[in-house]
Amino acid sequence: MKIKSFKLSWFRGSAQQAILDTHSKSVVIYGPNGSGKSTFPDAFEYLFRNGKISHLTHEYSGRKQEKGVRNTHAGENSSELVFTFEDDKKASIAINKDGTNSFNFEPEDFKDIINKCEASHIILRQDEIAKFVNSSKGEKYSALLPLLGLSGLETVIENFSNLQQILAEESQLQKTEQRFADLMEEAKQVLPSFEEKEIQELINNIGKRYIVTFPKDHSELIEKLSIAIGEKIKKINSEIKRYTILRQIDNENLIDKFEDLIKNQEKSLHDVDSLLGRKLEVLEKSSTFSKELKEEDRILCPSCGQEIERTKYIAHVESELGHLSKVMEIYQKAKQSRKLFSDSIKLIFQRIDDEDVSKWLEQEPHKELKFSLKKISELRINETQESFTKEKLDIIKSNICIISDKIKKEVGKTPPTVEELIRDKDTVNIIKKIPEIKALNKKIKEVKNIINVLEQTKMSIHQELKNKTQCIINQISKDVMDIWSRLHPGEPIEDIHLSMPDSTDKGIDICLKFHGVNQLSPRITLSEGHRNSLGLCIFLTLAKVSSELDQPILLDDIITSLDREHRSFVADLLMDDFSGRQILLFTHDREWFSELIYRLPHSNWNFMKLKPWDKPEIGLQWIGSLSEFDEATSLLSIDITSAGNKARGIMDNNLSIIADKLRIRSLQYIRGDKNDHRGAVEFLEHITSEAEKSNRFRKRKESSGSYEVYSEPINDWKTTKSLLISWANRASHGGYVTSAEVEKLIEMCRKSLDFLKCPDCGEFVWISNQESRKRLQCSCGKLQWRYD
Amino acid sequence: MSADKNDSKEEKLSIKRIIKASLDDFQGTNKEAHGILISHNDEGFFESRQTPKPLKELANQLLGTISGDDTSDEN
Repeated sequence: MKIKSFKLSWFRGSAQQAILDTHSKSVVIYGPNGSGKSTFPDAFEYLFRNGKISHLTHEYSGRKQEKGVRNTHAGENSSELVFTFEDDKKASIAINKDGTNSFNFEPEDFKDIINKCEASHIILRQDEIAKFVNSSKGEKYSALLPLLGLSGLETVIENFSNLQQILAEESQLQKTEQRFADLMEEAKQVLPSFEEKEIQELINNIGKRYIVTFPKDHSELIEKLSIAIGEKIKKINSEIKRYTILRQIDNENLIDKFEDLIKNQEKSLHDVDSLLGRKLEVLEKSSTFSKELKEEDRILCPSCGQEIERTKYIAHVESELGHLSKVMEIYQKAKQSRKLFSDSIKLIFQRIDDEDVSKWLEQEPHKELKFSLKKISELRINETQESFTKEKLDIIKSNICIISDKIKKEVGKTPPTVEELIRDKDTVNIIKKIPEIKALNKKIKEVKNIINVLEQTKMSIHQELKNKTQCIINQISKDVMDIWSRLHPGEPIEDIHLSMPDSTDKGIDICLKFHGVNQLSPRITLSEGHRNSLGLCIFLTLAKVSSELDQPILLDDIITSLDREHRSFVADLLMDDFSGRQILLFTHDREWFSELIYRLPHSNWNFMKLKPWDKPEIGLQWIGSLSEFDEATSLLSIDITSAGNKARGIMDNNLSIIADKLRIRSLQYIRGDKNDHRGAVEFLEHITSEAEKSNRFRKRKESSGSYEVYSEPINDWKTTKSLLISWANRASHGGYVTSAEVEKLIEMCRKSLDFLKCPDCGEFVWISNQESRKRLQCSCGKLQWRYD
Repeated sequence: MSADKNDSKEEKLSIKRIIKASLDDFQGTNKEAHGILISHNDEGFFESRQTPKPLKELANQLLGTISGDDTSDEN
């Protein structure tokens, strides 16, 4: 799936047309900051993310990113992107002014291949390089999941989870559980237990309070009881009122009063009463008469007719009056008893005059009571009553006994309180619901049983997923560590590996040893540069793992935080491990670009340069020549000394790389910063010396095919060295140099470096190591640098 | 490519086996529901992403195996 070309119109930094022809090779694209080189990764991302660019996902780019993806000066022009891949597969996108777009694929099913590609495993940008390292455990897991090839297991887990949820919804499990819990709470308040025997006993006890006959069938009994309690509740007020009235009647103690009446009446008979009245009248007159008598008078008693003395007569009258007063007392008692009894009778009839009591008396069980009351009523008993005849008394006696007895019985049946009624009602209701409680319990158990089985199955799959993930991340860890150790040889950051924390199912983190101490995350101890480097290692590992579709890899300014030495290692890695993959490498680092030109085989790599950005209407522009010396030459007309300086700078940089590539032993070469203080002259001197004295540089003769010492460059290198010492130094130190001198200097420098490049294969002499590094040579073997 | 296909087939068989083994305990509890789940597993139902509709149908089939009217069970 190598890309052959991009053609962009009015997309991001491109104007009318920007073409990047890769010829199916890997490409290094150099462009200074702001030259628009990221337009190409953006275009690729737009294709692979189906019309989205992640770094443009913000509120200012518009809903369809129309403010970001189109050139600001596109006007009415539509933006177009055309990608041509190997085998003439093509993808083209037209983006309208409003951001709407249309994708076209040739052949149509090429779309499926594009859709399979994961953009985050294809494109790595400078600002995203440590994104994976800095992301959360869950984000790391999600990023790795497509690569783990375990989406099948994830699908199974998801299906089981969804099925559990739907099962719970369809069975209304939550509602059922709530209903069950509510009923159980109700039951707890009123039922001692769910034991059948205890419940039966409870029903019987309640039943006694409300019903007379007990149906044999349990349900029928509960139903009858429920109705009876309901009725009772409806009549509760009238019943309590009636009970109060009957209780008041009972409290009148009618029988006692009647007995008093009988007793007192017996003492004070009707005829004695009248006699007493008359006798009392006579005695009162006699008393008055006796007071008018003289002391010596003897008189005949008007009461008994005997002749007696006045004093005796007076004493006799007084004695008679005394006797009469006692009888009077009995008389008064009898009268009082009658009053009390008649008052009670009156009160009873006032009470039973109540509507509810009257209705109650109409009921069959109370007919006898009603009849007795009627009989008493007919006697018209009142407080003025003198005395009762025996017949009357007999009627009263027989009826008040019935009345008192009946009322006492009713008063004995204390009506239930409202609380008791409610409690009984609740108890019966909950007993009625016991079958429902049991059914709910059974349903909940059965539904949960299914859900639990699904959960167990899901967990088994989870475990399998975890095991396989562990296995795969172990392999990835090994690759990451391998790449890391090649980018950071000998550094005390070891045992870098991905791990699955126990605390989460879907999480992955990176662990490592820092100076021998285990670290749970690289974010704890690693510098930004190291984190970026680790991010690069992980990206490259994942890119290797996801190589099924052989997608190109786009690296946009990824070495910014790496020093020169580590950049060199990145170049090595790309050559060694990714020689089969197409890489599009974008950089703004001129030195690295130069190094890559020397180091990467031109048979597999193209090198391109972008001009500094000018204006939106012009857009991206390629520089025709790759040669830095062309740039130096172009400076001649502007500033001669700058041109000389530029030539010297080019030689400093390039010869440093060349000395490294040629492993110039006399320099006691150490890669990296220790070479920084060395200049072009020193490098050239040593290269020349090794080539001359050790006959290292050889060239194959066309005719014989044998190799001979390649001495032609040696003279030129010597000349170049002398020019660098004289003219270049002068230019560097502000001295006077002529245009012709600098022109000659540039020419000789260019020629000196060109000697190392094979005229036939176009590769540098160090591209291939031969026979365990006994010699270096170009791809075709025409040029050799020998160590034997 | 052929090896890949074999791997994928093996993987699917492995998933089916794990599901089947996990469901085995269920056979004694709810034979009918067990049968439904096993038959879906055999058809590869769980291995492809399912929309709510077929999952709902399966859920209702499983719920159909619950009688709910037997109250002999005590609390």
